Amino acid sequence: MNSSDRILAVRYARAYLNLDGLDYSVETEKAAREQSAQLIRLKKEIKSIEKFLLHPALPFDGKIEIFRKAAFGLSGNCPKFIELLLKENRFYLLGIIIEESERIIDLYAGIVKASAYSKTKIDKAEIEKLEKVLSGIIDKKVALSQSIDEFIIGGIRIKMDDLFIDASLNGRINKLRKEILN
Amino acid sequence: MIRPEEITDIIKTRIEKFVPDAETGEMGQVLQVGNGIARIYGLKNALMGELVEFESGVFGMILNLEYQNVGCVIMGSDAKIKEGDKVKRTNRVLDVPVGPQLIGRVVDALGRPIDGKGQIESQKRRPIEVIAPGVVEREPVRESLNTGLKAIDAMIPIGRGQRELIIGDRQTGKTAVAIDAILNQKKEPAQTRPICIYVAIGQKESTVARIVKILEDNGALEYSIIVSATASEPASLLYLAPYTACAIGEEFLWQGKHALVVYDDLSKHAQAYRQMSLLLRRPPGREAYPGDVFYLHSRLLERACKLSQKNGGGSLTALPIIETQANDVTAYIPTNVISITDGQIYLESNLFHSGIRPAVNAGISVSRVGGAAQIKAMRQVAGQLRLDLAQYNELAAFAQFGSDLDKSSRQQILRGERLVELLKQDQYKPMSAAQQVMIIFAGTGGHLDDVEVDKIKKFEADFMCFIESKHPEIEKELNEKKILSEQLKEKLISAITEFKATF
Repeated sequence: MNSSDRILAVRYARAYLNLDGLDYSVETEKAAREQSAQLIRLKKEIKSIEKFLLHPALPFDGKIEIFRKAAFGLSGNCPKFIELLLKENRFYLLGIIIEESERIIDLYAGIVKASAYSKTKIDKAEIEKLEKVLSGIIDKKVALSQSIDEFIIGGIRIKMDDLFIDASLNGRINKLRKEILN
Repeated sequence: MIRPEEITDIIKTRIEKFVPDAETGEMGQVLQVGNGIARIYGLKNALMGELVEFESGVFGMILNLEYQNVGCVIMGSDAKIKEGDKVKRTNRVLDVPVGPQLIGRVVDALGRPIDGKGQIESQKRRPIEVIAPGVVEREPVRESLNTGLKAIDAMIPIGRGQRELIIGDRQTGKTAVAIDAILNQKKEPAQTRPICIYVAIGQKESTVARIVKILEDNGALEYSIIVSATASEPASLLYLAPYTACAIGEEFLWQGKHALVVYDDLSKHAQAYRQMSLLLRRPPGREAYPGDVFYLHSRLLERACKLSQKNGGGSLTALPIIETQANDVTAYIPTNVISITDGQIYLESNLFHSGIRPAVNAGISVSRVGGAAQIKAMRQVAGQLRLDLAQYNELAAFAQFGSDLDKSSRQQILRGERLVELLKQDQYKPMSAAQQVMIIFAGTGGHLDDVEVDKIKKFEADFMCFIESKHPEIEKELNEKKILSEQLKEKLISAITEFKATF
């Protein structure tokens, strides 16, 4: 993927969700999440015919026909959006459009998604505590998800947007290694 | 030889000093990489010119800030960087080690030693990009920087803190002029001797090795530093090299010392910047150079200056070199640099091939500020020299037709031929200002008119030996008073007459 694809995907996602300039309301967020969920669902279900839809030799009409016959139970402007992607040969961007859609909705709702990586599972109370601390740092609501990373010996590593906090044993050992070598 | 116990001690101290706190920072992801350029997704708070660290340990410098991504040049090999790699902000701009520890060393564009003489134990670092000293911090150029070349010191004098461009086609002796200038600094007293920094930009490794050897053989490496970014290195390092050299020179400048930086050459520097800019997808302008190519060189050369006494009185002289194509000085980069600098030494291939070396075209070479720095004795003899040469060049065209010329014109041609011969000088044989004054005085005074043209060189060499052995007081007085008094003129004339009787 190159940078222009990413920029293009952002533009498609913004056009699809149409949240620009809107004041926050729970209903709008819910509708946007539903729109995004449709794309996620489609991405999972479309696997069997994805190769056809991405094939450069197949004509647009043929692709539309296959897509319509598959009938994924899409509603709202989602089917038309997919048809537009097929027509413009941008269907390959679907994965990034989903990522960007999620990010745009989070931005609209004032939520920042963060991931916590640890060796073992962190309990709910600790997650909430961490969310509170992180919210204090960036002054936004933080939704923390956790992942297990076998390589972390102990401690925790958090990634939140561009920001990272490495409080893992691995990170500290790496830091020590650098300091000794320098 | 380091003992294992010493290593253990060093490691122990470092472990003791280590603070095991959590590391925080900003991280982006490599979107694409190739040709020494990387695009990074994220890093939305990154600053222009900031250093970033890739997972592989290679550093990059941010040059483009765009929507949702940043473009950076990779300072090293991009072979280990792949799509999706994490990139960390470092919150610092590029800096290089500076200080007297670098003297006598050969370093790369990042200030790392490449001469195999071990680590550089420098305690201080300076950012490579700084804003040039302002008006109040400076004072006019008033001290001379002698190159040891008669043609230059007499007609195109360079002052300390000046920016004098050396321009010419390939193989016209541009580097030789700069190297001669470095070698000549050996004659200066140690306290006022400029530290010479030679920057090789996009040159062959063999050329750099040859220059190091010349400096070493002539004892000039003890006050020189070489910054090397050869043709085999990435464009990013070629782009950085002159700024690195300038930062190294600035350390001496702000210590009240003198420094001379030779940028060899800025044409290749501009080409490296063009390559980077095109790969970063910046819009191409004239000759495909980006729009800010003027600023690229102006911000570098503006850093050359003479500081006021309040600021220590140090100086940083710049000798940028530009290579022209087929003597075309109207190309984009030559015109840019000509307009930035305080004059230019124009070297011509025609002169070079006709045996006039250094191949300086005195007619179109100028020094806008150096005149004030010239010693009075040189000013006394150089004015006549310029005039005689200009008249000779005008008449030389007529002489080619073999037409009958009047006596005075014939005399002018005769004088001019001898002066042209007089200004020829062998490579790596710089002369002191006093020696130059004496021989130019002999030439412009008409004392060489009866010496055959092909014997001028011998005359000059023998005359210098004669003065050294028989009349050392003349050279001594010239060195001390720096003026040709009537009394000294008479002494010099009688010495010339005495010598001519034996020649």
